[in-house]
Amino acid sequence: MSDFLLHIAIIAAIYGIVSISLNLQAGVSGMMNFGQIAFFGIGGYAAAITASAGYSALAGVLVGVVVAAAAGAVIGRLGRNLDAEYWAIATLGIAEIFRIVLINEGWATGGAGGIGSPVQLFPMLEGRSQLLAVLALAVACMLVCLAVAGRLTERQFGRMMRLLREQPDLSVSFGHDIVACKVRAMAIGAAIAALGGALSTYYIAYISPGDLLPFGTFLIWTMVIIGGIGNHWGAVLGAFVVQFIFVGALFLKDVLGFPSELAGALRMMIVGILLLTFLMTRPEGAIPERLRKINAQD
Amino acid sequence: MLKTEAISKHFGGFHVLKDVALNVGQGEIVGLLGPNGSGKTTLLNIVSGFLSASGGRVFYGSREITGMEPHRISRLGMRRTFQLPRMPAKMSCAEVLLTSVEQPMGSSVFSLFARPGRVRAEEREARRRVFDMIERLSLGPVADRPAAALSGGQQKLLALGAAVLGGARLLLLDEPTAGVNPALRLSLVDTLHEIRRQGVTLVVVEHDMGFIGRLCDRCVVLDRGTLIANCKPDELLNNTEVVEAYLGRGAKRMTAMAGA
Repeated sequence: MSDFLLHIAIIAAIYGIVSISLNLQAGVSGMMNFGQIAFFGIGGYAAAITASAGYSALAGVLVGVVVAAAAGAVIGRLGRNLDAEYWAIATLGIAEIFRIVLINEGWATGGAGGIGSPVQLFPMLEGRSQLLAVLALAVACMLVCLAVAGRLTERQFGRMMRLLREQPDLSVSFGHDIVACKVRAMAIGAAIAALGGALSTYYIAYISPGDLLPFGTFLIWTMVIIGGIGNHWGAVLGAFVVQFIFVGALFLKDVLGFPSELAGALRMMIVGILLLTFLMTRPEGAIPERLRKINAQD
Repeated sequence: MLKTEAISKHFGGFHVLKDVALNVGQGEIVGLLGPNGSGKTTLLNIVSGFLSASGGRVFYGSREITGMEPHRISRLGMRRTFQLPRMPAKMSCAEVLLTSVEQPMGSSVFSLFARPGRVRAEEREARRRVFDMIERLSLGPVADRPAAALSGGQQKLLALGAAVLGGARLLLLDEPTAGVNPALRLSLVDTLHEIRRQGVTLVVVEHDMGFIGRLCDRCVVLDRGTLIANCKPDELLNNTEVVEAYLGRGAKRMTAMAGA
């Protein structure tokens, strides 16, 4: 049982990282990215492919982060003239194209069956101690991402992003290059999502196109929205809540007497209801973004 | 300081501006007047790069800025405000001002992590300037309020303060007194004169004649996209074309009859 809890906590921490990445783009910079799962996928596939080629986990993470950041920058630049809604549709489309390419380029990606990672995190450890070590690593990565996201959000860079999110014309009149801002927000968010994807692949030792369905992006959005869009701690809280519901649904189906094959549908239903409840009653999320107080002195 | 040559703008077949030549000297305060729909804001949008002209050229100092991106024009020191100052709801008044102060270290992702000390020092200096400005504009009581929750007049002041803090050398103000109460309008004239004394040139779109009389050195008047007058504020009411533009043809005769 406690191994199971450790497993849940590891997945939640990885979700937390991905949730922070979307929060930087959508919550702080106001970019409606509906294809975030693709960046998770870039990290995950970079890990699996480099591992299959005999490279270490560190190399895999680096490749994933760099490739995802570059892809994020390109997508941010391509969409520079699109309004938020059109850009959202474009990102959804790009993520689907990426998934279909993964299915069809089987020579590198293993096709629809996915690809395993022969590289493990902490191969010298076994059983519970390995789980604990992975959990410590995932939580440490999550905390580093929180600190990085926090510094990006609270200083001038973040102020520029937050002004761009709310009043782009004012932002331009202040002399801010909003295309450069968007490109940077996309690149950084993509890099953080890729870190989450790589950790997930090394931990589960497998990734497939089935992990990159649009539902994945929907799930990340749910985490950010119920946690508190614009607040990184909220995004992490949202990730843990959604993960808890996912696991809770497994037990709930036994209580309600649902057959096992409906467990997936049940969890989607619960997540959907939760999302709607928050959107209607508390759209700012569980931990809302707060107004920052500027002091004359430090 | 600012010169436009034969600026024209049409939306489809509708001509908003026709061959507008504007010339603003260093240190001047020029009022840009005209009835609603005469093209004042369109001209401001073209000069500041927010809208591209259908024809003509814009010069700022000795430099041609026609077609330049608006944020680049802003960085050259030409700052503008908007008729409706749309302020963010999740940033405080003080934070908006702080955002307007250029902070090269704080806006660079690399410096944020590689040189945090210098980022903090830069921000400390910026905050000092922000609080000086808050005091100058008497925005102290609302400094920590969400910028969007300020009254219309306070938002206008906030936008003005942000433009000055951003290093404006030429300020384009779109109706700075709209929504500002009469007492504050008077002090706004003083504030704007003080800003001019610091070497800033001003172009002000405005309807309030009293305000224009006290503030401006010179007025240019637009009517249906054409410049019809260029004179001192106190000569405006003797200009038949200007009066007709505002009140319609025959207005001069009517005012004369009313006076008789």
